[in-house]
Amino acid sequence: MAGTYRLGAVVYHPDVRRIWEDFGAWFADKGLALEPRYYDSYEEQVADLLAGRLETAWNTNLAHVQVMAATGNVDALAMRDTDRGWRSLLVAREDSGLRELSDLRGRRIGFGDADSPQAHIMPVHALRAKGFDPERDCIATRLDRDLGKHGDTGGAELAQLARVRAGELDASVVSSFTLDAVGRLGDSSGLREIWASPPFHHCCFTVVGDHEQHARFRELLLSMDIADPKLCEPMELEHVTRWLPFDPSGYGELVAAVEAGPVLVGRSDGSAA
Amino acid sequence: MSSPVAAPASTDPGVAQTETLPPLGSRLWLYSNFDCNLACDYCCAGSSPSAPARRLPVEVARRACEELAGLGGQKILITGGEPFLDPDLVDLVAVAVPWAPVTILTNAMVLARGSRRRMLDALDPARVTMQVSLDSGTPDLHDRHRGQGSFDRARDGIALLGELGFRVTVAATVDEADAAEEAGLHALLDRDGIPPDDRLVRRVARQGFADHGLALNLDNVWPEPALTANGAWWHPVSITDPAMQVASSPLPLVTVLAVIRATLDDPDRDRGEALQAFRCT
Repeated sequence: MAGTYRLGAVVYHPDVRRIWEDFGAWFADKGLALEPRYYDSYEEQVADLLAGRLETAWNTNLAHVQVMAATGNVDALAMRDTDRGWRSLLVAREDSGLRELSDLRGRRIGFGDADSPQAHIMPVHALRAKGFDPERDCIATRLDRDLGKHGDTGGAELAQLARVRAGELDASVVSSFTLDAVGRLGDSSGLREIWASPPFHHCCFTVVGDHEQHARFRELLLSMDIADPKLCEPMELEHVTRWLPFDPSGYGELVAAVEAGPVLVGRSDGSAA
Repeated sequence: MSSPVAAPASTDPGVAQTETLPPLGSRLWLYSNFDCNLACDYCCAGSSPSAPARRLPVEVARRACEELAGLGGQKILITGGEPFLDPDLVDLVAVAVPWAPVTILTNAMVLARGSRRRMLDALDPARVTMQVSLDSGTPDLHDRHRGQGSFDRARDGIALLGELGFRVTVAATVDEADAAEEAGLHALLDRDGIPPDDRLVRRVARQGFADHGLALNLDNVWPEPALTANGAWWHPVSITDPAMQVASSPLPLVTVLAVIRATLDDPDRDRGEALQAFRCT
């Protein structure tokens, strides 16, 4: 058997360790010795990937784009079916009378963590492209709840949405992924979507350079079946129904947003800038 | 003991279900602590004076309540243990009340003086409902399960809460064999001015200290997520049952709810219409 295949995963939730322990046991049964390595932040994970201390990193789209910015020798192996076609949405209360983006001029808009691609970086970039600059055209607030996790917890998005429901904000940014969760797990009936960003893809397994086991890891990953009793729980926890080949087409907007330079709207305590 | 122990609202899985099942994500239970001044013999939480406190950190509660509010949740319920033994209770309530009405489940026996009274005075009666455990209309049955003298002290607590302007609801835990006691309880509550809609009589659940009662599992009780310092559970009556734990961490709440949703939607489980509400309030 070849050496271990080192995989990085950021622990945005305690179950992340359980997910990769379960996946690791399944890979071992297939003859691939997966060695999960856990990180508190994507910055640490990206640094280890670039330093050759990982074979692959389970990255957010932002972490993947950061690796792209650091080296040209980058690729990705796979992604979740649920990683395709995300959008950043501006959501207001149904009874607010707000209908379109122009209605939000001068209004209070909540954004998520500073390093959240879906709740801060992407929407600010896309709004500017539409001629709406959050720093100039509204009262932007930001909520840094889980810096280093790139918005994975969804905590800041839901907290800002709570403020919308309570009337403390006129609108807030949520990802389509989060709003879908609100609809399935709670109640989205009183909310109105008033703007949507262009679509983008989310997580992927980033790799730098070649490795003899990349192809085997990818092959096994794509063969996973959520009906397998050993996989159903970790796949549900990872919010994946089926692993798909990596699709590079969904990262251009985020690359452009990162190349446009640092973005920071509002103050980190959730108050207006 | 203030822990919730309740019986299904109805044995009829038909009409009653659709009327009483709270939508997933509409209510959130927070176990503030597990220590208690009582050691009721039917306590589903296994709480007692010697139980480790296992207090829910305020920051965890803050984030959970914000997530619940973002999801559209409409009710937050704080239970234990005896919540008034948690020195952080006022802070817990403070992070919850901006988002939803709050109900505290208490035995109302420790409220008269000291730090517990100061905590009580710091709460806003307009935003907090108190649910007090009272099992019978006379001391015998109540004290048999909950300890000598506990009936009189609970009634004193109810009176104090009423004087301070709190809405007081009453929940009774009554064995099937003692069902005849219910008439006496209702007569007492009539005299005390507790409206019928603010009363709940429920059966014992076979959880925690209870060695008899209704057997609950993922396939017969509708979920109401309950968070403790150590994780998340399917229902507040089930937090001593490892089979009913749905997450090893109380946060993120959205993950807790996603696990519950996936379990509800699992076509391989023998459930569906059999699920019934198990009322604790």
